Amino acid sequence: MKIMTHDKIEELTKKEYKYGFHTNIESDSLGKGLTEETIRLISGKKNEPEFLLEWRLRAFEHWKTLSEPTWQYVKFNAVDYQDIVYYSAPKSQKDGPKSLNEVDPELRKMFDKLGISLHEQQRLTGVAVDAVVDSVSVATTFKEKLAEVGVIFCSFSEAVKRHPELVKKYLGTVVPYTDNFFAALNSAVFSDGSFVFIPKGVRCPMELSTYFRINAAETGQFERTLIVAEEDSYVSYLEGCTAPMRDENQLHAAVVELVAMDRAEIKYSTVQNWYPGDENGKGGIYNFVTKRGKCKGVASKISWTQVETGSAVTWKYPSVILQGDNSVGEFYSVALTNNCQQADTGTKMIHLGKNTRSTILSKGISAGRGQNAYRGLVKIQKNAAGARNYTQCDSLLLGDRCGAHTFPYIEAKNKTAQVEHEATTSKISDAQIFYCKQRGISEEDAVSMIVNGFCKDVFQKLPMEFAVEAQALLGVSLEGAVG
Amino acid sequence: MIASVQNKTLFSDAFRSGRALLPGEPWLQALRDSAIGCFEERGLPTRKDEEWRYLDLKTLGKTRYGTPAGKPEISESFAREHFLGGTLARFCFVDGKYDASLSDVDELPAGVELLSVAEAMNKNEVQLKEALEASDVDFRHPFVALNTAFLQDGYVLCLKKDVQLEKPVQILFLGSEASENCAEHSRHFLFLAEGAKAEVLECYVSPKAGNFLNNVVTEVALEKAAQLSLYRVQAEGGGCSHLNYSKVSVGESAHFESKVFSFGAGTSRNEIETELSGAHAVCSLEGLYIGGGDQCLDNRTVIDHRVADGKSREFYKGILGGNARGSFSGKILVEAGAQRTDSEQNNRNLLLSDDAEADSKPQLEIYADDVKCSHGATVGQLDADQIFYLRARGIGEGQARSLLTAAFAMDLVESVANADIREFLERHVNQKLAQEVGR
Amino acid sequence: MEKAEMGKTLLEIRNLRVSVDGKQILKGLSLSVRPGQVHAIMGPNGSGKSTLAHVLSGREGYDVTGGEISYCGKDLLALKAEDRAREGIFLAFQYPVEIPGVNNMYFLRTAVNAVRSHRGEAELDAMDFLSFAKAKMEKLGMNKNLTSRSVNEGFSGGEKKRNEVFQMSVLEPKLAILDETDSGLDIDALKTVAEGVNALRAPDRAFLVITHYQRLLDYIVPDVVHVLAGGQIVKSGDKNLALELEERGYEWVDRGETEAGKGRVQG
Repeated sequence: MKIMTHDKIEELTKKEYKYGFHTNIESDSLGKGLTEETIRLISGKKNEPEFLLEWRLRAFEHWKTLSEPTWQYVKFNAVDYQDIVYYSAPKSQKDGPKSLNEVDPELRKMFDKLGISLHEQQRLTGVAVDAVVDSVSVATTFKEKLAEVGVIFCSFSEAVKRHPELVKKYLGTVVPYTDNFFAALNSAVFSDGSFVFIPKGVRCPMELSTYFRINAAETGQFERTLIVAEEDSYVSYLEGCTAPMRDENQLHAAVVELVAMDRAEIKYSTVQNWYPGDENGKGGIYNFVTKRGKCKGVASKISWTQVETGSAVTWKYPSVILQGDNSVGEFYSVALTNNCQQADTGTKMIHLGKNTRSTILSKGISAGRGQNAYRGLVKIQKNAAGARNYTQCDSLLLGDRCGAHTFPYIEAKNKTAQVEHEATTSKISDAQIFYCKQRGISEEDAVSMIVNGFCKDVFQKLPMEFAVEAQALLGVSLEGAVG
Repeated sequence: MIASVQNKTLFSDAFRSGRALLPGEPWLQALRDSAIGCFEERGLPTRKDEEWRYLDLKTLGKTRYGTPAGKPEISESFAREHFLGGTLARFCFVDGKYDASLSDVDELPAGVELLSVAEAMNKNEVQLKEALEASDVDFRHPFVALNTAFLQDGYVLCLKKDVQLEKPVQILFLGSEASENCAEHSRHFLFLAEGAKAEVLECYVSPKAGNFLNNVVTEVALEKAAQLSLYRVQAEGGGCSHLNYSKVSVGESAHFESKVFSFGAGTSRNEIETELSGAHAVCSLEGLYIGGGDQCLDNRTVIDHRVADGKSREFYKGILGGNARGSFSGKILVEAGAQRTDSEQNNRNLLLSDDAEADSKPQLEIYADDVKCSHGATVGQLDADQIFYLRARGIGEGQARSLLTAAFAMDLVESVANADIREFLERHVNQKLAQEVGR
Repeated sequence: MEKAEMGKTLLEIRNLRVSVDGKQILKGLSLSVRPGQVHAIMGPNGSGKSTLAHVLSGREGYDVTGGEISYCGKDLLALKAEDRAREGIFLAFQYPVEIPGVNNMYFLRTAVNAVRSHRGEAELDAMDFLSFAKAKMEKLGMNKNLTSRSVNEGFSGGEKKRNEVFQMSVLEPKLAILDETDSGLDIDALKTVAEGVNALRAPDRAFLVITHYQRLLDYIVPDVVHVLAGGQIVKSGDKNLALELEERGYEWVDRGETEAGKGRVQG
């Protein structure tokens, strides 16, 4: 007794990518390829101080000694790192917009299409937005209002110019360029990103948000985000991503570093909807991202929430180093793979301080021929007395051609530690579908409803407006997936 | 890395210089050559190899292992201590060689064949050749390659159709003092034809803590509706390195049950790869590893659900004190089409000391949607409420702890139906616990 | 059946034959239900009672090998499960299904709006629906905390059945099928559920009450009682038939199967 036939699944799986438009903006690009010269050019274009150029060059030297990681559970075409444009900026941006009104109208239209009209965002939601297109930050709203309380929220380039001492102090302290292949690459060639600094005792008065968009063809996006929360401060940061439909694979290798001092809290939410490629796996973004936070201070807290529905290949492990005593790390994740998408995602919780606590909640949904792997490490170091971790990984399989995998690692070196991992795998039962249908609900709505229910515990961790967006996104990706 | 390269040469040299003395016809010699070739290609694993991440090959990496020379001496009383009562047959090996004087195979009924591999090389050469050549153990596994290259002895247990053994068979491996700095590479074959049933207890013990290598490879094949319970007690002295790899194929409606008790050897690795290759095949893998001192106890399992309607249960428990490190890595693989697979996996660890470490890597890899799969893993201490409850009833804290630790361990023993085996296992668990926890 | 009578009939089952996995379960069942009536279907275990409920509501896995079902003059068997629901067929499940993470009220609003848009009516927004549903809940004496929980998740047996009746009251069906709604209920829960059902009795609504025991019929008094045995209705009568069954057991009708099977009551 099978509720969904292959045909049905197939029919439903053919939902097109909604954000696949491409905007005609003139770009100021470097040629393809990566040499020391490329790095000097990028750094030169941005008038960077010497320390940064040197740092980039050291990263580049190190990168040349590395090779791509192979342990992850994904297969993809080899990336030709000499066939990528490492710097592409919307041309009219050269001198930087002074205000929203100066932003290229084409670009503004693009954001409208994305449903994130900067005006609207500003007026209705009071969310401060930084938008990064093809590696360069194009507009940061609400800067003045934030400045009043001492919050710095600007593009990375601007931070390099105006707050070089802060950048120098924190850059690479959480993710050193030696960390891994993609982090080294990013350190060498990153062109922009966001920078956030919350001073002591300040509760950031609004959600900060960045939208990332890859627009130009054959371009890699290498943005870098750095968030520093000083003692007793709080910030909630949101990140959204889209890219146009293109037949070739595009590389996105970002680095995000978070630093939380004593009693500071950083909440970092991502809704990732990079172009996943077509139903046959052609095109799509390679999303190879290094995200890590350091709970440096006592009783600090870093919380990652991610909804990953896009990208052809995702390789991403937002992690927390729990260094300060009593610090808290959290990871809440929904990852959906449909068609030929592959995801290898999870987290690392490294417990160094006493009485540190971490929670991991991962919901993986596999549909079509999608392969979805959770990979996580919980490490309790020798001095982390009283450390606690609770991990729950649930997988939902839709159809019999996809895969769901769970690879947790637990390494405990302290006898007072308590680590608990649980994982389940399930499918939507025929009984559930029939129950919904008997109440008049269509199969497609029923599946969407049940999947959203499956993800509820994670969605609850998202800020309200993001949660709504995430649900809608899941709906779209799923209408695709099974109905 | 250096240790690995060095050791590769150590094993190669030992092979080249001892090759002429290794028994067997040309086909076996050819197999040996091909195996050592595979080993030389890869060398010994290091902790950079994902599958060997938690095993420190310490002494193994530094020793030039020879073959036991001279007459092995083992006190009969030591051997007798480890005899299991109520057996159908007992098969003894001293320093890896079959010892008829300590064995007892008189009672074996018709339809059962139990013989040593050395004997098989003479008597049943054709079957042995077939078995070795049909073998699907992989030479890319370095210790399987070494085992094949140095193969000398082991046991073969074959049960014909519908032969059901009423009493267990014990296989006892004794390491004498003559085995110091020697390597024993044993190869075992267990074939149960349709409807056959057996219970086997394997014991690996040595009276002294001398340094020797016990490298065991076992192949198990269960035909339709066959049932095998395989118990292993691995309790050599602290200088030993014990590597044990088993490949199990479970046919339609067959039932494989394994319980591994790893207590001894400074370095040990107990590995079982199980394929559920027939519909309604069932397997249950259980393990208890208790370590103290500088012991490193590594466990690895793979359960491969190849076809529909399989069922697997897995439960491994670790108790770690001193500087010991215990690890569990278990993979449940549900292949495409293996619908209605029902699988549960669990690993629990108890850390007793400040310097002990527990590592756990339970894994699910699933390619079918109509399945029931779950796994869990924990690392922790004894339940504080339980300790308090016992103390509130007047039991001292130390005693409360050893009581609860023993309860944690005994789970695995209590489910053993055969009373002789149960008592045998209980004795070993208690001995080891007394050593590490104090009772 | 004459055309003139069709208008008066809500549900007309003729000579229905159903098999599951090649095994014949219903062997020529006929039944006619008019609006406003309560029909009780009684029968021993395995007689095909639940099969009838599932076939009427469109559950897959049942092969209709013969006969026909007309509902409101339409060919019921041609409709998908959700369309039957939208046309007013409601099944109160013997085992209501748990749907983790999906809020009970959200679920019900989705269902109500699916039915409403099917009828060409405007959908209810969250606020309107809530006040509408709350009124129904009060009427049924439902525990308010059921609104904040997931569909049937962690509900007790009684709560699940009450939730079914609550859904029924919100969805306002034309034909309500109660599949062993009394199973697993203690006497207090049974009374509450029965009161809920009785409150919903209306001239334009019919009930098919499937039960093994007579005791439910003390509280929901049927107009017609049918005995289902061996895949056929073997005896029909008024409410006294249920009492008689209680007293004499199912063996009584089993024995008289062939003869009694001929005398059908059209209610």
